[in-house]
Amino acid sequence: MVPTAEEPNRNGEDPQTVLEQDRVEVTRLLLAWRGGDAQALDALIPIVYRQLREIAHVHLRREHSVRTLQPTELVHEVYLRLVEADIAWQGKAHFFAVAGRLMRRLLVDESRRRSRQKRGGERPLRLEDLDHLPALSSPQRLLDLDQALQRLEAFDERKARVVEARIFAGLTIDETSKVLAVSTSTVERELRLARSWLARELMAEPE
Amino acid sequence: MTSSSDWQRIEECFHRAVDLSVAAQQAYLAALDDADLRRQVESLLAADDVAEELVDGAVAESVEWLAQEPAEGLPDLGPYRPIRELGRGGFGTVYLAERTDRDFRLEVAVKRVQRAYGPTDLAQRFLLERRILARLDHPNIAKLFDAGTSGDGDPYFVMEYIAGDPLDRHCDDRRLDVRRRLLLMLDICAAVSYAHRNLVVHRDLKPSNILVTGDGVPKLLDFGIAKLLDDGSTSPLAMTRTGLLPLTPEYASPEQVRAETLTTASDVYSLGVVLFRLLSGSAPYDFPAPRRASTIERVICDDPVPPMSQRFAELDATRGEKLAERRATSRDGLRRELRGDLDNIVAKALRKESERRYGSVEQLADDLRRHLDRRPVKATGDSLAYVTGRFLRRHLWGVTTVVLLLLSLLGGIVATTHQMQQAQQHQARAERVIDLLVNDVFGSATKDRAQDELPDARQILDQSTRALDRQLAATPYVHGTVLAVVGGLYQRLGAYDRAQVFLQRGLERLRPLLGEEHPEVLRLGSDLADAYLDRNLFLPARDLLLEIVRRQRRFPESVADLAVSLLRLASVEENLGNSGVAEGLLTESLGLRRQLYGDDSLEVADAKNLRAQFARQGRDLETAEMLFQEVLEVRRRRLGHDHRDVLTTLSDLAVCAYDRQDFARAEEMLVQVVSLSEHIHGPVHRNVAHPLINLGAVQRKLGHYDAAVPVLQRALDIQQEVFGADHAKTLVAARNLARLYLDRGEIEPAERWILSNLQSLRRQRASPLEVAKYQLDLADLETERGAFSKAKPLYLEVDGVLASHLPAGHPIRALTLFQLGRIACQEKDWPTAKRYLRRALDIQLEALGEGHYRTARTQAELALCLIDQGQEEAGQTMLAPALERLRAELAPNDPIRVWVERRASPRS
Repeated sequence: MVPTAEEPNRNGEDPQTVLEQDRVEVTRLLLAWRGGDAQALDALIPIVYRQLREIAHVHLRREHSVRTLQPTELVHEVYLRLVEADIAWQGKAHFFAVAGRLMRRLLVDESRRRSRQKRGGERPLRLEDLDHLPALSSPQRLLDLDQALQRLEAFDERKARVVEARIFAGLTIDETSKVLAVSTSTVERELRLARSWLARELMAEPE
Repeated sequence: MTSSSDWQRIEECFHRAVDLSVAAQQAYLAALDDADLRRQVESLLAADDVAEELVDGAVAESVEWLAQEPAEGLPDLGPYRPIRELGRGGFGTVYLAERTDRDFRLEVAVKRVQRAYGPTDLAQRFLLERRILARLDHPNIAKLFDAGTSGDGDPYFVMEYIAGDPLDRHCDDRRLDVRRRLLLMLDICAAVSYAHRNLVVHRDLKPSNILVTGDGVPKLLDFGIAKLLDDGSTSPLAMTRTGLLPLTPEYASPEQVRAETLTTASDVYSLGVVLFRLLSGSAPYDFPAPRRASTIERVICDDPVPPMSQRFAELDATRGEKLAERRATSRDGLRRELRGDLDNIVAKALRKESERRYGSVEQLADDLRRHLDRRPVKATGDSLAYVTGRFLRRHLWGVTTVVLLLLSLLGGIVATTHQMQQAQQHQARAERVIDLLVNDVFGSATKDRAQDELPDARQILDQSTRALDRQLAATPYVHGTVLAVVGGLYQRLGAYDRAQVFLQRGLERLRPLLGEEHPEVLRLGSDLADAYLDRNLFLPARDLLLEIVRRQRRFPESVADLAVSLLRLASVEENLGNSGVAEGLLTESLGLRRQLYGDDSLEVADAKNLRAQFARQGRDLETAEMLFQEVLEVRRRRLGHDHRDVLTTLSDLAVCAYDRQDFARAEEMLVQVVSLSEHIHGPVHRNVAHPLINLGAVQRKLGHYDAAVPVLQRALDIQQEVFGADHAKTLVAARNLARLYLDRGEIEPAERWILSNLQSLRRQRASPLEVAKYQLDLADLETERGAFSKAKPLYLEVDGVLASHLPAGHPIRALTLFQLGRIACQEKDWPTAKRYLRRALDIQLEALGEGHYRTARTQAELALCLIDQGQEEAGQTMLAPALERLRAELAPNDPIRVWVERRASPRS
C-alpha cells in the first residue's frame, strides 16, 4: 500500500487539526452510509474532494516528483489519511466501494466547471483536435465518458460499478472483485467489454 | 437501446471473439447470421484495441487537473486572440490563438506559465526557454515566433501551431513499415542533433512531443524543459535542480530520475525509448502500480531492459499480430527485423550508464543509416568477441583456443587505450569479454567438455596472466577486475593456491579505487575468504568474513551477497568446531535465500545442502539423508541429471548409505558417481577424488581390499595434484590408504603414510584435535606391531586431547578407550582392562547402539578379557551374541572379525 503522504504546507491552517477533524467526520459518514443513510455520501464528497486536491498538490510539489498521478494513488492516500487506521476490512471495502463513485462525481464536477469557464459552454472540443497535442487534455472527454457511463448504467449496472472501482478509483482487479463481491475473472470480462463499449460510444460522438 | 437478451448475446459473442486472431475474428463474425448482432460485436471488437487508452486515459488526465489550479477565463494575450485552451503540459498552459492583421491571419500555439504553483523562479526559467528556442531554426523543430507578457503579468510565448499527429499514431495509422519509421527517426535525430550543436538538450523527448504533419514532416515540440549547456550569464538557472521539473517517466533516463546532471546522452536514451516503442510497439519496461517515485526510479535505474525483439516475442499472439499488422508485416517478420542490429542499436542507446551509450545522437543516427544500408552497425562492436567466441565454439576449435584468443583480445583492448573516453568504451568491451570468459567459456567448459582442455586452460591462463599484468598496469580498475576474474577461474579449476593469490591481488588493486565498502570489493573479499576456506585456512577466512558480513549487513542491496558470506562463515565455524554458531548463521542465510529466491530455488538447495553436511557431521543421519534427497530433487529438476551438483548430492547420499551400513548400496552408487564424474570433470579433479575415497572406504567395509587399494591410491594421487600434499583433503585420502594397509597387515606402507601425515600436520600447526586423530593411526600401528609400550602413551595422549575437545559421549573416545583396554588385557592388568572396556562399551551403547560392529567388538573384547581372567561362564555368555553380531555386520575377511574370531577360537 502507498505510504502516507508528507504533510502538505497549507497556508495559515494547521494541517494536523484539519486532517483530524476530517478523519473523524469521514469515519462517521462511512458508518452512516453503511447504515443506509444515502445522504451521507453527499456529505463525504466535499471532504474527500479537499483531500484529493491536497494530495495531488503534494505530489506535484514534492521534489523528484514525476508527473504520474494515478487515481489509485489518490484513493489509497485519501483512505490512509481519512479512515482510521484500525478500521476493519469491512469499513475499508465500504470506503473503496464508494471511492469509485466519489471520484467519478468529483471529476465530472471539476470538468464541468472547467468546461464552463473556458468557453462559456460553447462548442465542445472534438477528440481529433486533442490528439494534436495529446499531452494536453480536454474536460469534455471526461464529460462524454460520464454520459456514456450513464447510458451503460441504465441497462448494465454492474459494468458501471466495475468501471468506477477499477478505472475511477484505480483499484486492482483483486480489490474490485472483493468490493463488488464477484470473481476476479468476472471483473476482467466485465471490464473488457465495458471499456470497449464506452470507447465505441466515445468515438461515435457526433461532434 | 438494447434489450437484455440481445445484450447477453452480444456479450457472449464479444468474449468468444475478442482473443482470436484478426483473421479468425473475421471468420467468426461472418458466420453470425444476425446482421445487427454482427454489427454490434464488430464495432465493439474494433474498439477493444483503443479502449483502455481512451477510457482510462480520459480519467487519468482529468485526475491530473485536480492537482492544478482551476482554469481561469481565457487570458489576455496581447495581440494574440485566444480561441481555446489546447490543454496543459510541462509547466504551462497552451492555447490555440490567432493573430489577425489587416489582411493576414495566423494560427499559433501560445504557451503561458501557470503562476499559481511551481517554483518561484518559473518566470525566469520561462524567459530562458524563450531565449533558447529563439536560437533554434530547423525544419523539424516547431518555431518560436514571439514572446510577451499577458494582461495579468504572466509571461507567454508564441509557437508555430502544428496540425499533425503524434509520431506513434502517425506511423500506426498509416501502417508504416520499420524502414519508413526509421527514416522518420533519422529526421528526428537530425533535429535533436542540431539542437545539441546549439547546446540545447531537449530532456523530454517522447512521441507526443513529436508531431508529424500531414506531409509527413516530423516536428519537435516543447523544448520547455531544455537546459542551456554553456551560457555563463544564466549559470544560476543552468544549475537548476532537475528534480523540480515534471517529467515523463516512460522516456526518462536513469540520470534524469536520479536528478543528476543531464547531458546530450539523456536525449540519446529518450530517443532509444522512442525507437523501442515505435519499432516494437511496447515500452522497454512496465511500471508496477501504484506508480511511486521510488518504484519508477528502481525500474529505470536498475531493471535490465530486455532486447526489443524478445519483448515483442513475449506478447500474446493477438497483440503481436496487431502490432505487426500496423507495421505492414507478420509477427515472425517483425521479430526477425527487430532481432540483431536493431536490438543492438536500441540496447546501446538504452544503457543505464550514460557513458556507455552512443556518444552522440549523430552516432545513433549513423548506426540507423548503416542498418538501413545493410552495412555492419557499430553497436555490435561490443559483442565482437562474443561473435568470435560463438564462431570458434561452433567450429570446435576447443575451449583453450577461445580462452587464449579472448585473453589476448582483453589485453589488446585495454593496452591500446589512452584517452579517457576511449578507455571507458574499451572498458565496457573488456567487461563483455570477461563475462564471456567466466560464463560462456568456463561455464560450459567445466560443465561438459573439460576432460582434455582444462589442464591446458590452466597453462594458458598461467601464461596469459603474466602478459596481462604488463599490459594492464596503467589501468588499475581493469587490472583489478581481470585479476579477480582470473582468481575466480583458478578457483573453478581447483587451483586454490593460485586462486587465493589472484583474488588477493585483485582486491588490493580495487580496494583503493572503489573504497572499502563498495559491494564489488566486499564480494571479492568474500570470494577470497572462500579460497581460504578451500585451503582450510579457517582463521584468516573467519576474520575476513566477519568483517565482510558486518559491512554487508549495513547495505540492504547487498542482501544476496550477505547470504553467500553467511554460508561461507557457517562453513568456517563448523570446521572450527563451533556448530551452534554455524547453525545460527546457516539458518539466517537460508531465511534470506528463501525470501530472495523462493523455496524451490537452487540457492535454497545450496544452503540446505550445507545444513545436510552439518547434520551428517553431527551424526543426525536421518535429517542429513532427508535434506540431501530434497536437494537432489531440486537440482535434478533445475540442472538436469548429469550436472556436477547432482553428482555431488548423489555422492553425499551414497555416504549416507555408507553411514547406515548399507555398504552394497553405497558401493553401487559410488561406482556410478565416479564414472559420471570422470565424464564431467575429467580424470584429475577433486570431484573424482572425493567419490573414489568413499568408494575405497566402502570396498574396505565389504572386504574387497584388493579393489580398494588402487582406488584409494588413485584418489590420493589426484588430491596431491589438485590440493597439494599438505591439504586436509589429501591427508584424509592418505589416512584412508594407511588404514587400509594396516587392515591388511601391511605395516610398512601404512607407516610411511601415517608418518608423512603427521609431519604434514606439524608443518601446518594443525589443531591438537586434528593431530590427535592421526596419532590414533600411529598408536594403532604400534598395537598392530605388538609394540604396546609405544602404543599406550600415544593412546593416553590422544585420549587427553579428545577428552578436552569432545563431549564425553563422543564415539571417537570409545576407540582409544577400547584400545587401552585391549592393551591392558594383553598385559593381564584385568581391573584396568575392564574399566577401559566398560567405559568404551557405555559410550558405544549410547552413541552407536547395540547392533554396531564396534560395540560388538568391545563386548567381545570384554568377554575375552573375562575368560582370560578365568570368569569362563560370564565371558562365554557375553561372547556368543557379540560374535554373532560381528559376523552379521562384517565381511568374513574383515580384520576386526578375523581378530576376534582368532582370539575366541581356542576358547569357544
